[in-house]
Amino acid sequence: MIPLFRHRLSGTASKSEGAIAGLGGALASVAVGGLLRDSAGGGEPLMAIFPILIVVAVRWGLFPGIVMLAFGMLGAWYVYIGQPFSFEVAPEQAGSLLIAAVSGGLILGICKLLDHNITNLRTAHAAEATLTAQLRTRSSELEQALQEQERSRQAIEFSESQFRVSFEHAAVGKLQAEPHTGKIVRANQAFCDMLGYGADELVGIEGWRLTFPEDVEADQEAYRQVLEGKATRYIREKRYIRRDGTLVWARVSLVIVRSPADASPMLAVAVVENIDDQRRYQLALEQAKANLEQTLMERTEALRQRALLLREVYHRVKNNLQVVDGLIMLQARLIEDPDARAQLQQTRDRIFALGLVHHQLMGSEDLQTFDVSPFLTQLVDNLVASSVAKQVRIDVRADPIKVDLDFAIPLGLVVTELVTNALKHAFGGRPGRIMIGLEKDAAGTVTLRLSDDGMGMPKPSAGNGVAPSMGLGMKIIAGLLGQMRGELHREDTTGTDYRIVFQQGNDHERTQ
Amino acid sequence: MNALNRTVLIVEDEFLIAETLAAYVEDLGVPVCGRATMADEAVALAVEHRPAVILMDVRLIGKKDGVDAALEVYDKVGSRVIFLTGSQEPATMERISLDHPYAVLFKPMTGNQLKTTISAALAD
Repeated sequence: MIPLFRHRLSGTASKSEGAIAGLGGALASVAVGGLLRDSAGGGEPLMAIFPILIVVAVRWGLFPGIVMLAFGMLGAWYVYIGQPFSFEVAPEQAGSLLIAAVSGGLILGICKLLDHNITNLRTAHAAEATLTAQLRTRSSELEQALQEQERSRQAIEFSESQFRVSFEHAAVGKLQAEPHTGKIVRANQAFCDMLGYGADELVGIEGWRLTFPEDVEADQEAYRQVLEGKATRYIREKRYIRRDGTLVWARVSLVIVRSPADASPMLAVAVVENIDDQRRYQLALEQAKANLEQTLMERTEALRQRALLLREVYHRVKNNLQVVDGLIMLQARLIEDPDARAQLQQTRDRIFALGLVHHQLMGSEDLQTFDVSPFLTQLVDNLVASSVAKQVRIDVRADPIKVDLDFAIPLGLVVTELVTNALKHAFGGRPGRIMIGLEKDAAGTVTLRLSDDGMGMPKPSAGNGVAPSMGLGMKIIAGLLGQMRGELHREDTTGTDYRIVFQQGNDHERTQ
Repeated sequence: MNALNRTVLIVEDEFLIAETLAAYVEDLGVPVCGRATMADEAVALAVEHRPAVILMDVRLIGKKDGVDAALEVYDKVGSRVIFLTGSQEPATMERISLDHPYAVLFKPMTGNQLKTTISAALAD
């Protein structure tokens, strides 16, 4: 009977299933009826089958019930074939009918009752199962939550221990302080070592008391900025006082840890680096740099002074030469003899060469060398102007050669003598041209070339090309060329053609 | 402005150089109207003699230099000023250009340079 109820309960009995079950029930009732007919001796007790059919109809729904009823009727009809069907109840059958009716009613009642209880039970059971399932789910959720909590607790513990290790054993000083009072909450070993204190000694001390008094004010100001949120970072280089009273330079980077809720300061956390060595090196470096700058300044000043002095000396020499020139000129004015006057003029031309060298040096950048070309041009222009041969043109073509005083003075004097000679003797009052060239080759050899298109001069004899009996001019040339290790070559042309070769480096670097 | 006299004023604090300059001027046949060694003196003489040409040394005795004197003379007299300087320093040149120099001669100038320049100044 359980399957019947189960079907009903589950409510999944289809019509075909109901039909098959109804057919089965009818067959069963026919079979039972057949058996009962023999034993009961009549068909009436078979009426007891009807309650079963009704129960089926009630339990299985209308369609299987109707099918069962139909087949049951057919079964009953088959059972009663052969004897007339009558609703007349014999008195002896009344008892059987009554029993059948009562037992049918009982069966129905019991079934109904059972059905109800079982339904209740099922419902309760189902509710309980749902509840149990829910409880199970909750329970597993709870368990998971607990596991997670445990995991995060472990993670926190791990991170805390990591923090502790990194705080305690960091190579740099670390410090935690109460943000408003500045009292130290925790200080690591590196910080204690840096200042020579034990860890316990520092807790509760105000950080400022460890700072060098001169640095406190600026330090507190910077801290205030950070505390009030006006500045985000506090990075300062300052001095701490060690326990033994000595000072140590440190770079302090500090942040304020704020409450997530209202951003109020909760903790000041600082990293303190010992930069004493760095600072000392830096100071030493700065000192060295300052010394160097001082030295450089002194040197520069000394150089400037030297330049000033040199210029002044050149200026004085030049001035004095002009005074000497003036004196000779004044003297010459008193002399009647034109030859004597001419000789004095020659002397003045030589002095001019000396003065011009100093004039060039005054204007030179390094105060030691100057370009030879403008020097030669000015030199010969003066010679032409002071001579009678004013219609002679002189061309100067000189390489850009830098010369110093030791080279320029003899060179100037030699050129003066040669040009004066040419002007005096070569043209005889006619216009003409003097060409002066100065070249320097790759080997550093300087060659002076002086030629004219005049009629030539008395030819000097052998030796250095200059005879001892020649005038002062030739003597000067010979002497100076000897001094400069220069060689004079005289070419034979219509006019005069001198070539003077100065070997480079045979004395000292005279040209640059 | 009244006409200037065909004379030369020499402003030079070194006697021998002044003497040399005077000799050159005399060689040209032009009288030297006076010699000064200081700026104020130079201005006074220029005002007094109204020379056509002044030979003016830049470096002078006293606080004022030749340029100061020349500026004053330019206003008061209008003589042509030939500067004589031993220096080619830019600072000096800049100072000289403040005035209205007729010419600038660099020492050591030759007698011929000087004579040519004075003649030209007198002829202008």
